[in-house]
Amino acid sequence: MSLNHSFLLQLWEQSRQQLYAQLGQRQPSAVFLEGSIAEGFGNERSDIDFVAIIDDGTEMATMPYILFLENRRVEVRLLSRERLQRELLQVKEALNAGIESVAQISWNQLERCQRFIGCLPIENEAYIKSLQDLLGKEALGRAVALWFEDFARQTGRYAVAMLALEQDDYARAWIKTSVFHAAKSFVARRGERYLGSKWLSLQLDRAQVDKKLVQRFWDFYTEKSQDSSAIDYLHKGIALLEEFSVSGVELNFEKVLADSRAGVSTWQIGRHLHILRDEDIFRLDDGSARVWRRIIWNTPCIQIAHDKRSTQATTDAKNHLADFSRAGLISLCWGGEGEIRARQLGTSCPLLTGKAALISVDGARLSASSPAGIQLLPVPARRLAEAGVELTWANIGVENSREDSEGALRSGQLRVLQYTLQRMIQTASMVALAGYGITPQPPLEEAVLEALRLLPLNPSLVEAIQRIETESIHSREQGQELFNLAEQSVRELRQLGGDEQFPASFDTASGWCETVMYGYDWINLATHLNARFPASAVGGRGSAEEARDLLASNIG
Amino acid sequence: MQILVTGASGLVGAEAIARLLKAGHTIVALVHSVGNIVTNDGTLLPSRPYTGGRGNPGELLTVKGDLQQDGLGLDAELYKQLQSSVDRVLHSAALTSFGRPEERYEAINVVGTQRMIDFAMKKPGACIPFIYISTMYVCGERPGIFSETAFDRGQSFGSPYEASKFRAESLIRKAQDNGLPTVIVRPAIIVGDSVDGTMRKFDTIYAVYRITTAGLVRTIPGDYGATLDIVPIDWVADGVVAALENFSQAQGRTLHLCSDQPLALREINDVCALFPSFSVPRFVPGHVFHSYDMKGLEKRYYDEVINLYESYFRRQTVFVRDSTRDIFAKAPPAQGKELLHKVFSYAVKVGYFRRTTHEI
Repeated sequence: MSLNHSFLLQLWEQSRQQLYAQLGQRQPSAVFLEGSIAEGFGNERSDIDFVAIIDDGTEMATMPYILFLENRRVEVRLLSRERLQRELLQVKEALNAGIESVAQISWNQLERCQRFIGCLPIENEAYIKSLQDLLGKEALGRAVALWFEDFARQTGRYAVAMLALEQDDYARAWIKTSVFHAAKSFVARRGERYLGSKWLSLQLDRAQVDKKLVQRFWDFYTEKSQDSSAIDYLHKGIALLEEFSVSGVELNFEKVLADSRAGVSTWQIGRHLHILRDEDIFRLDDGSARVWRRIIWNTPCIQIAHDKRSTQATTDAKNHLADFSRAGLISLCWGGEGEIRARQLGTSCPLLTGKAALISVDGARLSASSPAGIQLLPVPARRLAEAGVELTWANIGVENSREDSEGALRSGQLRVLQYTLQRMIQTASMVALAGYGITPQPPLEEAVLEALRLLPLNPSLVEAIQRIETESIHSREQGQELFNLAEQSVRELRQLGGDEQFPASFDTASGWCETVMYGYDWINLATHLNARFPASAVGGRGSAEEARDLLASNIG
Repeated sequence: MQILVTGASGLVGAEAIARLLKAGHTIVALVHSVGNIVTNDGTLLPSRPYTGGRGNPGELLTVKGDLQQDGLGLDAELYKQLQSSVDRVLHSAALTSFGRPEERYEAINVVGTQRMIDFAMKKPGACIPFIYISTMYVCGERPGIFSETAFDRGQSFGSPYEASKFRAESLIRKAQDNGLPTVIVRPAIIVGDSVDGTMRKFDTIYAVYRITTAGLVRTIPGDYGATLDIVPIDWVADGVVAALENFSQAQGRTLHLCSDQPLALREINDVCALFPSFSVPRFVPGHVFHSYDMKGLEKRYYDEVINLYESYFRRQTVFVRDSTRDIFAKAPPAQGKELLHKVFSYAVKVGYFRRTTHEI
């Protein structure tokens, strides 16, 4: 969808006037439009994202200013020339150093560079062009392709690791992610550099990728788990990876090694084994403990798990190893190539409490079973703060996906809708997990699986979630039905901990705004405790500043 | 130089020989049973039998002898030829394993050393400069600072091995007073190499931790503040070679090959805890321990192995190597917890440390 230039100029002029306090004393060196509309995607619900380059020696926060003009949401960011230049050159340097270095670039930085290179100039095109030339479209395309290639390889290996440990559903989820990103890498080599995931279907069309390959890709992507065994599914996935030019993933379980993680140590107290992970401590039951004692670092997982007593005992041991890995007690490596960089955070923890969630948007919940007016919480303060921030994040994620879904539904972008509905359910699962103090959060790929594994969900909700996760959308009516189902499921997931867990409504602007304000309260506590902030969809550690910016961009 | 090395098939002897050969020296290795001389990483050092006279630069010659016999068990003519052709003696032979009969330590470590002193002193014309490998643990059980000049402080000893090494060093010092040019080298507890913990001979600390990490003995009388001083074999061998090559500067002195980061027992426990399969030993005060009632296998392992080393878990001696730095300035490339982690990792990798029970 494109908007005409004079309309954009008019919108920019209105924005400038509204932002007199920020721009009255500052003349931007250049102004551009970035994001989905500039890239030729987008729909009538898409935001209009303006960026003004400021070259006066100051470093601006990346916080956007949100305006509502002509029935559209308009975001305006100020960006210093110095920062833009630095980030573009860093990408160029990484590109020269090779794929390992490119993989180290944060998603946020690569995305900022991409959005700039793919922008639509509004004012001072020559100035913009001279900055864009520091990296250039072609080099950016290579960097994006390499970034996705590495991500696809790592997640593909993680899928193999999960299969080695007989975690079939996790293996499926990860190979899906892997192939999806291999496709992103593939189209990036063909000029489709936009990083956002939801437009992949349109990118595959625009890049004129072989129709049969695209069809096979979507068939694979939407295949239901009952249609084939996990091992067959991985075979298909790995074949697709190769077609999308991603090598280095093979179904060789001997390659999957268990290795140590910093900060993890083993302490026996009396007869019971306790594992220390930084400041968290886990108690193992006897079955887990026996497997834990068998671990020798840098050894294939299947070798550690092998139990000559029975295949069931071996399967049990594999389950324990998978749990250790998810809890961040061991790292999974790919023989000779170090840690598999897919799910590096030790995320999932056992439930803290029985049935009730511990944390809500407005703080910790009192235990109903205790009469005490003052209650010591069963989690360390930092963990509570991290979970609270993540709960807020996940709620924002749900709202963003909901908006995206509405836009896609109206525009009849069914593939996009399918993606955004899944995102809605995944982020709502994260909300529920955070409510139970499960932090760091699992990656999106595992959000639903982890919610199913760890939370007390009723069967109808489980069924609805699974439908949204796997159903291909072929018509607008079906899309509307799934959208309604997703809305219902999100409500249920948010209410898991009880009605009083969340503000009355996320549907009204004031209810939403209140939630976001509570988010700032969480940030204050988390900053005080030097807590870890979530950074982006692809993991990593964010900062308090970025957290504030993210919240600011969601007050509407 | 032609150098006579005793204990050539031992850890320090073989590693020193490899370095000295590389530097172009000729080595005559006095070996108890003519066998292969293998460095710590398993490399076989090619050799030929010593038949008298001087060998070629970089050549390793072996001669079968015995410190427990007069004339080193050599044919009298060969003894003489060896004596007249050797420029230095490196005496590293010793019985280092624990738990052997006392008379064996006396025969090998003490009387054997006297025989080597005689060999060096009775060379017609001039004494043969002599390097003696002692041990840091001649310090005995007395706590406090133990410097290069310290020796007889009225200390008690934790084992017949230590006592024998103390007596042997006394003999060296006496010979020194009588004109034998000597350098005494005292290494701390020698463990695997500084690169990845490689070790071909598991003994001492390895034997103890093999049992405790497997959970076979969980409780040991000891003090969390007690320290063990471990040093990597490659660095020890470098130090011995430095003593040989700077003999004139080092002559008359004692060199300490100890670490800058002695390990407190609680730090050793920290390292143990990094291995999922390891039990971390409890250290309890001695008076509490005696009331602890061990049974069956645990008691057997305790009595037969741990007990031999028990005094090490109480010691708080601080070793210094200040004046050693003039001769050998290099610090151990890995030490403290980092070194111990490598040492344990290697022992796990080659299967020396293993759980012998599925009990947690």
